[in-house]
Amino acid sequence: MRKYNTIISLVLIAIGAMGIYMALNFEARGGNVGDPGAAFWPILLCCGLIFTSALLLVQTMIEGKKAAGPEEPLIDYRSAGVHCVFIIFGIMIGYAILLYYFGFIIATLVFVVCTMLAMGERRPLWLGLTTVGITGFIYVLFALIMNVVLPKGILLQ
Amino acid sequence: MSAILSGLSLVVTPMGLLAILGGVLGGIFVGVMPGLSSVMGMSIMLPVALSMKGNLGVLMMLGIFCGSIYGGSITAIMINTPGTANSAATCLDGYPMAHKYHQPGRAISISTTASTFGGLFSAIMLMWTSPILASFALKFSAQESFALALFGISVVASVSSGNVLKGMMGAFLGLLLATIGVDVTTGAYRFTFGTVYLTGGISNIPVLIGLFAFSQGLINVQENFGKERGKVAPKLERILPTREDLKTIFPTLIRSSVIGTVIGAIPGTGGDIAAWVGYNEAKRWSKHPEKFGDGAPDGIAAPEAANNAISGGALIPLLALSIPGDACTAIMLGALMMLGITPGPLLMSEAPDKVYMIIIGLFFANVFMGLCGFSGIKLFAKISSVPNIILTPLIFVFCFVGTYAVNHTVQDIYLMIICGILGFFIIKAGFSIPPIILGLILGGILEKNFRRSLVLSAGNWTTFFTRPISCTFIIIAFLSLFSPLIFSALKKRKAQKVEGSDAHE
Repeated sequence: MRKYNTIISLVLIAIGAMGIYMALNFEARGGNVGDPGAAFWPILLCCGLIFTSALLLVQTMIEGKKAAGPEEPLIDYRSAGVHCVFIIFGIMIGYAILLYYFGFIIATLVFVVCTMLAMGERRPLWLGLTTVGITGFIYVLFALIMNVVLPKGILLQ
Repeated sequence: MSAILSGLSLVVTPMGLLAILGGVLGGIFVGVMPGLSSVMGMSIMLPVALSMKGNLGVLMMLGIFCGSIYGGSITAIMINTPGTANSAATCLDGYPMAHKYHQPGRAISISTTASTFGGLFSAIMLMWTSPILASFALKFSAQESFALALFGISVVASVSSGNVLKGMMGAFLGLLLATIGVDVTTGAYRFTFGTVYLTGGISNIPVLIGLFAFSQGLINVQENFGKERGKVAPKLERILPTREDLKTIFPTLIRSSVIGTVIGAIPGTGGDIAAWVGYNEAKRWSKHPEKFGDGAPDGIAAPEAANNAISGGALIPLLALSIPGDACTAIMLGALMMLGITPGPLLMSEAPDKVYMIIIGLFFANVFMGLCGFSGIKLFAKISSVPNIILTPLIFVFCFVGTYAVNHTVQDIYLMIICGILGFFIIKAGFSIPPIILGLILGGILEKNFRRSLVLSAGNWTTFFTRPISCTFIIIAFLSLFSPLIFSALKKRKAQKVEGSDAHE
């Protein structure tokens, strides 16, 4: 937890500092009398973010000094579950790209098979039936019943 | 009275009732699945609701809200695994009654009766209290509205995360996200990075789905990898409660419904807290507290009535003051605003029919929940056995399609993936999502009223403290944020003193 707290605090302090820097350069245009302007509120929030992040950082450092030994890892990067999650991260990005180029049906058929394989499913019948079932179910629900426009894919238009 | 009748006419249409029924069934489906929460179900189904015409989307969301809270009790009783956190207390007596005493039907009939009773009770309370609270809130000016929104965010930030600092950091992050886009007062471009996509501001839906549903799906994959879900073989001896059971649990139903409604109305709380408080109170008032934990009917009725009663309770501050009571009502607030209904004191005076439509819709959702619960219990119990290998890809595809369905842009999908991956890590690091979402949803209201207050007072900063209601809310907001820090510091000092004196002795 301490490692993550430190990383997140530092990242948020950097975001806050960058936010203040950007807000100082917001284009100043005429507002009403008494209006603090477009930059004031974001700067206030960035200051709050930096302040609370710094407090968490200090709190984490104090806890770290008091702690007797190394703590248990929050995410076990060697576990099969976490490996599966990372594989799925990649499949997600691939799915988003496939959706853009090939549209909903082809992309979803590929995505469902890949996700099930990543999760350890190897039975061909299950893979086939689930893939077709999920794609068909979503298509019927969204496109046919709800009249929602699904991605068509720029290569197939 | 005419507003109530107009509200009724908006609900009691074939499509309106069908939307509620569909929502309830979808909600129960989400609820019975261990790992799928009410919030996740509502965020996944939000784009579907937005694509529905007129008020049907609102009615469907109400159905999902009620159904998902109830659905969690079925798996709590059948396989000792609560479908949602709200039903954790139901396991204590529901599972022993179903398995030790071989009365699963009796356990589920009590839970269904209590859920329906709690939900209907809170809907009546909502109908009674909302107009009173809204008429009081009509006196609010920009200063009070700002203070109230600040109060709502601060309460959620202080209680939803184990660490107040993390809650506050989440709230600041959400509020900061809400500033992205063109500033409506001055027309200045803020944090748009020169892109057209961010000019209109961050879309709530991709962030909501990414943080609530997508990240939870990833966590489910990690935690349940290679695990088989417990099989349910429902052999239910009955589906309706006996007269004796009804007589036994009636006082508990009333007490827990009141507890659930009150707790639901307090921002930052939720069904899990209501359920545990309801359970503890039922045990404390019982003539046979020793039977609790061993299949006591009151031990099932108390948490179920309390957690379903939060549905109406949480809608009280939402409708009257535009302050969501929990994560589910935060999504509901987003849904209502996107569907053109802005909750708050003005809604009651400008569109009372919409308010009553929501209240009556909630009433019907609870009625349908009871009917579905009694008639389809065997089916729902079987649904909970759907393996993760099917459920996980289904949820992910829902997330993608739901995100795309709102604005039809692939950029929304990229944003959802980024939020989902970030959500996975920040949840693991002990951060809570509701403050971020509440900051994002309420950020615009907060800034608008903050700046309007200063314009009205010609830049006088004391304006927030010279008005009694505004000052009170700001003080409570600060107390709710800093009291946990002060109390924990005092506790530590006290503990150190005790340790020191022990060592001295």
